[in-house]
Amino acid sequence: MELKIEPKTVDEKTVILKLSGEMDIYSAPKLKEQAADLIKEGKSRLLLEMTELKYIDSSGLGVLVAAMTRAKENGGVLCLISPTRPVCRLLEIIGLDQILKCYPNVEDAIKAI
Amino acid sequence: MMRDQNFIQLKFPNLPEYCDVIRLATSGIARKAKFSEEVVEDIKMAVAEASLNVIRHAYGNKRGEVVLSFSLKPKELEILVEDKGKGFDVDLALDKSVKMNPKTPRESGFGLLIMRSIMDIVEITSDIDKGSRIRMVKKIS
Repeated sequence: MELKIEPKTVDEKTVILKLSGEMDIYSAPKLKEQAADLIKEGKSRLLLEMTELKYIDSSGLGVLVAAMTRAKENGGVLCLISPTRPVCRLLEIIGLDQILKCYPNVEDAIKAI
Repeated sequence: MMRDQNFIQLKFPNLPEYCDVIRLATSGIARKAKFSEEVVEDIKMAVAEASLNVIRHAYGNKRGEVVLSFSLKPKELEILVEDKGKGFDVDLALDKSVKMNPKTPRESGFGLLIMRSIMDIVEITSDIDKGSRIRMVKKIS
């Protein structure tokens, strides 16, 4: 299953990226590139909508960390919206749940960031 | 030596585009052992991470194989993930496989941590320039 990324601009600095499918070593670079391009354009507040992301591996987790670091360096933020149970479990296992903020929906995320 | 009839061996090229096939095959075999869907997901993740280590590191830029062996036993599923690559320092890798420090986020080194967190047994052996083997066991409860 491929990784699909649907971007939706909220304002000049904020973009929602709706992820669906599976993010692994083969597909994760796609998100890394897209996030880097958005941050370069000044859109450094990235909300990753993950309800339909069925699977993520350690390569994908590494891409989340890289994108979060780059967003922060540019005065922004990266947060996750509604990650699935297997994704949450992995975040907890590696300790990324202590670093990346998760919100139940887009509205709550936009209010909080 | 004659193998048990519940022994399955699969060989994959060390290419990222085969990761999804490895996951599909692992899920199918884990379901045969009557694990719950939650545990099937865990086993899939562990095997995917072990295979990912081979794909990323074992052969450098050379072609090679990821060999997966599954032994379905009455009370457990035993899985071997093997390669004939360059090998690695197991103690060093285990030392690095710790939870992320929030003050110093890192982008890699999660695979062994994930495997050890979700499987009942994880044993790693590696010989420089000969290859590596990860043995994992999930008990059927």
